[in-house]
Amino acid sequence: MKRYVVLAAMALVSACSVPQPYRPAPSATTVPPQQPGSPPVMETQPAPAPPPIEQAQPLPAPVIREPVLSPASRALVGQAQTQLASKNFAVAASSLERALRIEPDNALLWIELGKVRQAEGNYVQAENMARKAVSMSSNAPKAQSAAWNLIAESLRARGKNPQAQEAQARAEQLR
Amino acid sequence: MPKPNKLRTTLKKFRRQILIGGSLVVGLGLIALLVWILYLDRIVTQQFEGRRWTLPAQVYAEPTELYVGQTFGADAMEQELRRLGYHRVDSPKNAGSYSRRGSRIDVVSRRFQFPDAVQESLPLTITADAKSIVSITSRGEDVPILRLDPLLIGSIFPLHGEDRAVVTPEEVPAMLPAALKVVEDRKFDTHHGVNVGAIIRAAWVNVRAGQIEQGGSTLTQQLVKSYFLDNRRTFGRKIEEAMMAMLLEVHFDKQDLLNAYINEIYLGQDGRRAIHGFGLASQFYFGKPLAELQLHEVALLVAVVRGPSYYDPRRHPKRAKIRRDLVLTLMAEHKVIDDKAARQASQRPLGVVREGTQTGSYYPAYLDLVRRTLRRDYREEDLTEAGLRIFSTLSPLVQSRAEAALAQELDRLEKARKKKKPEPLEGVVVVTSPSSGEVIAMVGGRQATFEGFNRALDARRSIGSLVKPVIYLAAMETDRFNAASIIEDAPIEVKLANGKTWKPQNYSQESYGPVPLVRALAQSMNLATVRLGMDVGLSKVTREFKVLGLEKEPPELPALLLGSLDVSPLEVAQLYNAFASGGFNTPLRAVRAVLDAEGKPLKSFALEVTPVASPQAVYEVNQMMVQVMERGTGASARANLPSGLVVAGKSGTSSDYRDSWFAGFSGSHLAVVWIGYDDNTPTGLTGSSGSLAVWSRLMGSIPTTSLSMTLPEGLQETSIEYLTGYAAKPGCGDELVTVAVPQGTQLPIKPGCEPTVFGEIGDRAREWWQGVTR
Repeated sequence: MKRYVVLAAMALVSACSVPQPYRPAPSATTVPPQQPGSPPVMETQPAPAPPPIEQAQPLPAPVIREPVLSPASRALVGQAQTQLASKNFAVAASSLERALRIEPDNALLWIELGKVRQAEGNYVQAENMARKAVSMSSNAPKAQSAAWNLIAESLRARGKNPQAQEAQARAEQLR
Repeated sequence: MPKPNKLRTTLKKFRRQILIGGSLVVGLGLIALLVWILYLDRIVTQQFEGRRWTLPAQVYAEPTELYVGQTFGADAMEQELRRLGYHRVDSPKNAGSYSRRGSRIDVVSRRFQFPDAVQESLPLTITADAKSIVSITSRGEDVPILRLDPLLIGSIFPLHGEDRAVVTPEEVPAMLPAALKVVEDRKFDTHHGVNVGAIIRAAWVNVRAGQIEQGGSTLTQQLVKSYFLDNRRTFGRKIEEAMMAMLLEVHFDKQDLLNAYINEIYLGQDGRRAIHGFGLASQFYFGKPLAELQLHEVALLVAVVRGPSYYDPRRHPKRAKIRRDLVLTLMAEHKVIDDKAARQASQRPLGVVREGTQTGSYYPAYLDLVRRTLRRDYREEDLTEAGLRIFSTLSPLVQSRAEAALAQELDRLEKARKKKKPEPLEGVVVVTSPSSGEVIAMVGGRQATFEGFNRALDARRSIGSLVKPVIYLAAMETDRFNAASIIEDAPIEVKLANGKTWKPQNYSQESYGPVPLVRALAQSMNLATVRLGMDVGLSKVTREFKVLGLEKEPPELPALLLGSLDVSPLEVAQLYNAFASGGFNTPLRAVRAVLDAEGKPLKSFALEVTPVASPQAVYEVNQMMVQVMERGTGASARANLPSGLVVAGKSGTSSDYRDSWFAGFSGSHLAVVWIGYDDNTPTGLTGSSGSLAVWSRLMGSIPTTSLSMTLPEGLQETSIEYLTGYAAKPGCGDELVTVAVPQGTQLPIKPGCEPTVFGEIGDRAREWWQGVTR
């Protein structure tokens, strides 16, 4: 736990010192940072070859589609992280809301907004934002894992340790 | 002649007394005069020094965001700039101007203080293709995102109706004070409040002309009249006015008085709203800030001072132009401008924006919502006097399209009517942005600018079949039903608490037998829905309403299942917003933030979300509501919508056709429409024949995106026959529809479509089939 906090803090600081270009998910327990300026790409995975009919088979693996931030959102998230570092929660949140107006279906933005809520101690909204992110990332395991991580953090902050562990397990399972 | 002698002697005798009495009268008179002057002095200094104006809260629309990919083609981009009062020039140097060469637009944006940051004025180069912005640069550097200054949409003014947008001396173009002095008060810089010469001259001119051609009042007197006195024109008033003007001049310097005048003077009327001050007048007549006015525009405002109704540039353009040109001539005569500039300016048209266009227009229903939102936190006086700046979520574009769609369709519906009713058909439109819960447009009645009963908030009417998606959601959440579940649409009797029996009917008076839920909802079958609701349980259904965002849980009555539930259009929007945002409730809001007069943030209304329904259940119902639009009661919307736009929705009709409703959403907009009569008499319209037309016209006229929901974990999509609910697949089965069902759901297979045919169709189909039947 302590390790996570320290790592999260480090990641936060590093993200803030260079607000641009965007480095998503400044948290130790989530996905590794994207290369700066990398073009928007869609990670896809071809469906496996059809299995023989006799065997009981799992469903064909769904196409994986991790969310990517648009340049505009990336700039706003960068701003928000700087503002968050100076504990300017309301302003950080309003930058993220601007991004959400442009890309309301981007799970990464909901996670970022949830992190602002978590940082200002609004754990319930942090969890709710993360749940919203989970609901829109069923085919994006990385984003979903990050969202479950945030859920675990917000539960832990409220002393709900068993549920937090469960959420943490889901996060790790997805990674 | 003893008498006069006697009088004289008497006078002589009482000389002392008369002298004392006389001086007493004079003395008392002087004291009274002094007291009166001191009294006026107190009024003048206290009111003028204390709060010089009551400042109504200013309400701004949502700002336009510019970023690469924003759906503005070059034409739309230019339109947007014009809407904000930017003017086209050859090479833009000043804030508020732009130039265009084909797909390239150069613009100097305006400085603006947003609640979270100040956006400085920037020179921008924007290129756009036919559909969207391709690049934005400023001084050679890429600009990832930028907000333009938002439209000022109005203010929350007090009951006596004075509205104004106060300007500081720096925001006043230099020509304006000069023009005012030349036209209204040439001795302003030197007189002490009154100009006796001017009064005599004006009187002479007016007597000769037989009408009022000149006023002799100084600017200071005009200010006093407007600021302290009412409109009565008596001699006593004139004296009082002159005295107060002189007192003002003693206490305040000319610059202060001139600025007060510029912010105080009455310049026009907009319904109940009185336009005061040049700042608001500039917005009202030209749709742009005072600082950006050009010579001919300044001259027009100065012309209007003399008689805002007589020289109303919208109603009496000829008169207004003659007086404007006179102002220009006077300015040239007195060397404020040169002759050439005056000549050029008088060639220009008046340049007044049309009333009812987005700039300078007025949205009472929406402002009412803003006012009610804020009344929870602020006293009425704070809103009307303290100069708050309120950042609303109104989208002027969507608002104007909503107003137009409603007006056009109501006209059409009334023309098609055989029997004319004296009372007009009324309607409401509420539009939200589902994921943020922001109310972006609200039309409260047919005459959008008429203030009065705000139907969008206060008309609680029976919502009919708009309740159905809530019942189906409750059913999905029990895990006992899915979109393909078969339900009997057959006569049903429900025993009521009062011992009576309730026998609901279908709209068509027929019953359809066993049908899949998706079809029962799409065709809005009453019998099937009552059966479903009773099976799920009334208490579960009523709870669902509350959970989705209705303020009060409705009473547990079977009639609720067919929509005997009275709620306002805004509450319907709240309810459907939960569907449109995937099962998350977001309190609807019209205000993002409030700043005080100094620009300090007072309050922000942050985005909050609460999960209220399982994402799976919501997805299943939304998918069914897509079928409402594809082949159910919403199908006629197709004609007004861009091809391929995926939308979901539901119609509603109350008993005896008293209320026609439609609620539906795309990926980025939710709109609720109501049509009916204020006296609740039948309209003869169903939800589909009335409100749906408004809804689809609106949705078809705004840039909106397809509904694209992520399939939640644990669900899968599959094809069934719309009529029978049998699992089927392309090439086997009639009228297939896509529904979402929980993974592993066993569906009855259409006879003849059994798995044996798989070998022929191939591996892909087999794989798909396993997914469905597992």
